[in-house]
Amino acid sequence: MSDEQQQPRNTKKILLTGGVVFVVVLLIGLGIYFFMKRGAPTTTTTTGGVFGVAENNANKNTSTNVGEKVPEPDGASATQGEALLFRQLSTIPTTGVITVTQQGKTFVRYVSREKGFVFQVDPQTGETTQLTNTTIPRIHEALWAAGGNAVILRSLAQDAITGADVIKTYLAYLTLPATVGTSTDSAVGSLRGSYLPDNITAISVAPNGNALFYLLPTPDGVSGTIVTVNTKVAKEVLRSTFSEWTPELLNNGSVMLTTKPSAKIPGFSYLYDTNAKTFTKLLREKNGLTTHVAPAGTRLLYSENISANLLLGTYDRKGFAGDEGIISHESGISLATLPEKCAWGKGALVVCGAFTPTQGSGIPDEWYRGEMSFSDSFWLVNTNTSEIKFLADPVEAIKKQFDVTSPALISDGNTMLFIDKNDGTLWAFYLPSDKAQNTDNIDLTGLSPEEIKDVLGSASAPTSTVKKKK
Amino acid sequence: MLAYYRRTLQQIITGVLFLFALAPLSVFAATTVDLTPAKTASFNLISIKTVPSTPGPNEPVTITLKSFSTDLSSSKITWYINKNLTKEGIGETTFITNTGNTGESIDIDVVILTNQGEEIKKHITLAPMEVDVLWEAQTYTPPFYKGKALPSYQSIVKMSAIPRHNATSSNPLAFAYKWTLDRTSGAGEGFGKSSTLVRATWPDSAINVGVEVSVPGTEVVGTKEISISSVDPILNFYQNTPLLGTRFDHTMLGANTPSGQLNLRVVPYFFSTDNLKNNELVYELKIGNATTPIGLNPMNITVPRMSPSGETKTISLHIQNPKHIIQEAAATTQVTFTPQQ
Repeated sequence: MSDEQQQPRNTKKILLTGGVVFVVVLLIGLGIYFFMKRGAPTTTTTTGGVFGVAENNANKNTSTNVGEKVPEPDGASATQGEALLFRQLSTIPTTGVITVTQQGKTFVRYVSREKGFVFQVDPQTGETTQLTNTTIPRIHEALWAAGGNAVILRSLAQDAITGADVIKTYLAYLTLPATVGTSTDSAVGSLRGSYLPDNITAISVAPNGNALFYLLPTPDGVSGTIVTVNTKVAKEVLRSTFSEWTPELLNNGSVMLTTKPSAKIPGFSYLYDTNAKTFTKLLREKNGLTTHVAPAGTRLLYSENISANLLLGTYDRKGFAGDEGIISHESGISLATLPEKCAWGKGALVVCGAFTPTQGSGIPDEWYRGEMSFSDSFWLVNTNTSEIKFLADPVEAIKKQFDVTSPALISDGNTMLFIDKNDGTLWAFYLPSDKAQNTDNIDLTGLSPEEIKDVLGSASAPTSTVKKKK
Repeated sequence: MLAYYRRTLQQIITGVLFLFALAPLSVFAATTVDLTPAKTASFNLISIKTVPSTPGPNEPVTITLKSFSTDLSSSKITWYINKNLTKEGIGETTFITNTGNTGESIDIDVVILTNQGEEIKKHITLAPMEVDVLWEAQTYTPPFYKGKALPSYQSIVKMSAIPRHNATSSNPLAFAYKWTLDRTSGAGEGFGKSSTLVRATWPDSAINVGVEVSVPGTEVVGTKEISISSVDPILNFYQNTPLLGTRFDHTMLGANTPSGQLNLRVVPYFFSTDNLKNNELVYELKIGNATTPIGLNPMNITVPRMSPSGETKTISLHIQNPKHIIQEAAATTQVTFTPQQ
């Protein structure tokens, strides 16, 4: 073979080898790229900043892709190498959160405030599916019943003649395709239901989701009615001349009734027996009193405003054993927060978003009126002992401030769901078990929340604050 | 005939004299009942009093004997609780004990043996009743508001009593009520009258509302008095958006928008609801320097953009209730329209 003949062959060999190498490198590169992309939960991959995207997306309606997988919100994360703490589960304003189990896996259902569509998201991946496309606009609040198969949507309308506000309450059942929630499903379901009476002032669903209780104004005050969710059978169980109640229905049909709070007004909390029609007083004359009862109904969290300091506490109907056999029904917790920022877990454990108020003279009213917002850190509370454990400060972890509302714990107790009041987005907080365990050997008795954070090595963490808007 | 008239006149005079003779006794009997309602077992000149006069459950109670006619200091006095001898001695006119739980009666018997050898028995029952007084101002708060409506000047406040004597009788309609305003009766009374209406006073001032609750035909009495302070009304602006409606979650202190207009809702917290519903409030709205015409709909105020270039507008609002002239509030916010491309 002459050199002239061999040269093109060499060139071909070189080109072929180069091509193969190029393809291999390309494949390896693509493999690494996709591998890294799948492993995104431990890194912040979004261009332009995670929170910029979240804020910019706040007004986008991702539900336009009806029946398809909704683009995953970009999960916020801790820095590279650390465990994931927070994941954003929705980019639109949401309300109403419940967990459902399908084929052994836990999903989260929520409602979009703009159109009343129901979505389902995997809290571990953020993968979201739209479940319904029945439009009920401008939802103010949603409550779940019947294990996540029924939802109560509350919205505001105007009377056609007087122009006055009318509160509408729609009790609906989810009608879903059989394959909904599976990875291949592209069908979408709907809501089928009926309206409860207009102008229901307050409503509560029992923890087991089987019944709801609502308050309706009457000429003399207010009436209270229990509705069985499956049969829609309604029964009036309360007539009260006093109407400013916040109700919480228990599984046994009793209702916890707490007076609506104001920072400088003494509040009361009663257990109302709907059969005997009797009030049993639980908490009395606590300024700014708000409560949140545990699913079992025997214990509740409460907060009171004492000289502009907000204090959390636990009330137990059986009582806590004290020194010399003295039984006390109340036990203080060294956290400044409201019970509605706390989620009951298994047994006596509670996870709370808590703040450090610089001036709390108007709490909770000013927060309800939207005149102030909180920057919450996350805490674990053992209500048996009142011991608290610092879990995370999102300002330190992901440079984001959360104002926690609608908290809920997934049944495994390791994930807390909440809606950020600032923009209505839904988030998952993964409890850092290592931090919680590390506190076991440290005596934190008598320390303030800020001191405990210092002890646990968070001294440099930005102080959680209260932001007054005026 | 004359004798007949004389006899008749004598009978009339005798009858009148008899009535006059009885009258003081009637008055005295009524007075006795009033002064120590159902606490004195029988008429005598030794009084028995408790401090507080209507003790609540699990409260310490001081019981004192007094007399202007009997020398108690030299008498042997024996105290019994539920028939059990608890204390005795010469001149033991004071006894301290605790009431039981709600609905749990305690019988106190006292036997007084004077140095003249006379034995006098007294009895009192401590049947504590607990009374909670709840109130709600008839003032405006927006739908879904989780906080309490607060009273403003001359607004109506509805009072409700929740008495508890025992678990089965805590139905409020089973009790008799006497309401007082600033310790003066006349705020309402009657069997089953568990609620009444009063008017709030000046901002930063308070009214005192009291109630005495009793179980008719028994010795059970409970009282409670509370103080209610008034506040100034509050005005807040909230943004109305087409997709979300009114965003009550956040007051609008200022807004930046590229759109052609901004829609707001004003919420007049704590104005009297009756005057609000009857459209009796007077609104004075200024957008920039322009005062808006009469007929403002506070539920939807439109702030229009005047030019495509950027501009900032100050919106100020003053609301007054002409029925209660001090019931007023003012607020200001700003809207910045960013330049349109």
